[in-house]
Amino acid sequence: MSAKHLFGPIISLIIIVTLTTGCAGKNKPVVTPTQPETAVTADPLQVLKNEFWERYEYFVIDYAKVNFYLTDLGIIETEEKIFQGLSTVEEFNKFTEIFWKIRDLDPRTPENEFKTLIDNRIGDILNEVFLLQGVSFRANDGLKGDLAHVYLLHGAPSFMETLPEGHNYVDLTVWYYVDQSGQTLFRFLFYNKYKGYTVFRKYVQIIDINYLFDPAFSPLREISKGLAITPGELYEMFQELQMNDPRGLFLYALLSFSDFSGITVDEALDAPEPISITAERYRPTILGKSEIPADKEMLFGSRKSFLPITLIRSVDSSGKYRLVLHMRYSDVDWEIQRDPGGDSSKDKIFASFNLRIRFQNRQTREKSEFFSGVSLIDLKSKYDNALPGVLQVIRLGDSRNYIAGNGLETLNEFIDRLEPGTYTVDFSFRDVVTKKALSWAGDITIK
Amino acid sequence: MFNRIMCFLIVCLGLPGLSGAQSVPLPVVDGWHVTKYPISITINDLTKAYVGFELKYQNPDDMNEFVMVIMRSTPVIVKRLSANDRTNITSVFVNFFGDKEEEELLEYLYNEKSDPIINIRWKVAKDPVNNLMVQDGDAMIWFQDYSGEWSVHSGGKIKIELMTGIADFTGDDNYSVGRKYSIDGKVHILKVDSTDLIAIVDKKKNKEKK
Repeated sequence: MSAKHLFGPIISLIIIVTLTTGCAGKNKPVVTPTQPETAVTADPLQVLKNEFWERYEYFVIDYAKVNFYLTDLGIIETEEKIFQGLSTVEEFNKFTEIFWKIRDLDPRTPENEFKTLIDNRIGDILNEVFLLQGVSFRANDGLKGDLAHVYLLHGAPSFMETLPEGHNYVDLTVWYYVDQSGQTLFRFLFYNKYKGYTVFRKYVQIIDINYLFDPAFSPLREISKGLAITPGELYEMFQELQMNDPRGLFLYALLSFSDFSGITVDEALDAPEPISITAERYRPTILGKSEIPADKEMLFGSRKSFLPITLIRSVDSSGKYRLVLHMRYSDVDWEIQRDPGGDSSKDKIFASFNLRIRFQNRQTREKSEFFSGVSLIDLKSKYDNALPGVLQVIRLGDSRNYIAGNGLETLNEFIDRLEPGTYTVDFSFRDVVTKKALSWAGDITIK
Repeated sequence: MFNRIMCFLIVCLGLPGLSGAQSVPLPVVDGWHVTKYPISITINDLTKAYVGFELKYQNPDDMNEFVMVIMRSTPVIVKRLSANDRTNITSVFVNFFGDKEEEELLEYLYNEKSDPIINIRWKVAKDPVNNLMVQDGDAMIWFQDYSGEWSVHSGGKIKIELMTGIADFTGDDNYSVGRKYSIDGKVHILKVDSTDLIAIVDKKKNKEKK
C-alpha cells in the first residue's frame, strides 16, 4: 500500500471534523417552522406549519415573488416568505388551499392529482423503495436529504446505478431521467463523502478533457476519497473510474447534467413552477376556432361546419374568366345589427369574409395570390321573408387585392392579367367570425 | 305562382336544382356500436390540423352490416410546445395539459362544429371459396358536395386525394393541408385554411429570428 493510501483516511478524518463543524451554521433551512424547539410547542399554527414544511418544503417557491396569493392573502412575495408570515390558522388554511389548487393537474376532478402524486412519493421514501438497490433514504437524512429532494421533485428515475467506493473515489449512485425521445433530461450523481449522499452540483461549463486533470477545476476532486491535489492523482482516479464504470454512466454524469443545454442541476432542484401557471404559458396554439363574442346576436346558417355556397366559374360575353358565388340567406351566419332607433323593420344582418385565391400556372409553375375582404349587409326583413331556396349572387370581381405590391387591383383585373393557360386554383371564402368556409380546389383554364 | 318564381330564379342562375339544400334520408344508426377517430393532418412535427371525424358503425342486430360516416368540422390547427422549448422541467405535465386541451377541442368540434358529408352503408359475408369476409353486394353512398347538395350513389367508389399546399407564398415549402373526396364529379374538400397556415409559419419564422 502506498503512503498516499495510508494518509488518505487520516486526511479525510480531519476534513470530516473540519467540515462538519465549519458548515453547521450554513445548513438549510433557517426557516423558523423547521426548528425543533418550535415543534414541541402546542401552538396549533406552528404544528401545522411544521408538518407542512417537513413534507412540502421542496415545492415552496423561494426564488421569485409570486402573485398567486394576492386576492386571498393580499401579498406578493416569494411563497417561502408568505408561508413564514402566516400568523393564523385561517391564513394557513387559505395558503394551503391556493398552494394545492394552482398545482392541481386536473382541476375538473375533485382529487388533487399533484398532491396525491407527492404524497405517494413521500410514502415511497418512508417505505424505502430503493432498499433492494442498496440505497436508503433514512440513512441519508430522510425527507430532508438530497436523495429525497430529487425523488420528491422528479419521482423514480428511468434507471439507477450504484458504484461502491474504490481506492480513489467514494460511494456513488447515479439516477438517470430519460424523456420519451430517449434523450436524458437529468443525470443526478450522488456521492457519499462525509454524511450520506450529496447531489453533485459543481459542473464546469466547458467540457474539455484537460479540466478533468486540473486540480483547480476538476470535478473529480468532489468525489475523491482524498484531497486529489495533483494531476497524477486525478488521472489515477479517472482510470479507476473508467475501469469500474465501463458504460461511463458515472463519468458522464460528472461532466454533463442534461442533454438539454438549458437545464441545469440547480434549476432541476428548484421548486417547480405551479403547473397551471406553466401550462398557461405553454398552451398549444390553436388557430381556426370560432370565437363569437357573447354580446353578438347571431342567425346561424344551415351547416355547423361549412358554407354550402356554390362557386360559379364562368366566361362572360367578352371571353373573360369570372368568379361568382351563389348563396342562400339561410346558408350564411349573420350578425344582427339592431336599429338604434328601435325600428325593427330597419334591423340589418351583416357577415364578413376573407377571400383568398391562389393560382399556380401548371406549365410555368408561376404563383399568384389574391386576398381580400368581402362584407355582406342587408335588411333583416329580407332574411325573414326570403323564400326557401332563393339564391343571392355575390359578385367577387370588384373585390380588391390587399396583397402588398398589387396596387389594390380588382379580382377581375387580377384574373385578366394572368397569362393564358391552365391554373391550379385553391379557393377559400371564410367567415371571419365563425370560421365556416367554402373551400374549393381544382383546375381552370384561362384563354 | 310560387313555383314559377322559383323556376325562374333557378333557370336564370343556371343551377342544377334546389334539391341540394334539402337533406336526403340517411341511414339510421341509433343504438349501433360506434368507433370514432378524428381526421388529422400532420403539417409538421409540432403542428397538426383536425378537419373532421370518421365514425364506423356496426349493426348490433346484424354484425355483418356497417355504416361509415365522414364528418367535416371547421378546420383547426394545433401547434404544440416546441422540442426546443422543453427546457422546463415540468414539460411532461405541460404536455399532459396540452393533451387534455386537445381532447376538449375535439369534443367541441364534434359536438358543435361538425356535419356529416359522406355516409357509406355496406354488408360483408363469408366468401365460400376462401372463407374470408368480403363485401356483400354494392355499397350505398350518400355524398354531400361542397355546395351542400346531397346525392346518392349505388356502387362506385369515393376517391380520396391528399392535398398539399404552400404556406409561405414566397417559398416552396409544401405542407399536407387536407383531403379531397370525390365521386361522379361531386367534390368535398376538407382542408386547412391558408390564412391559418400562413400564421403558423409566420410564428415559426418570427421565433427563428429571435
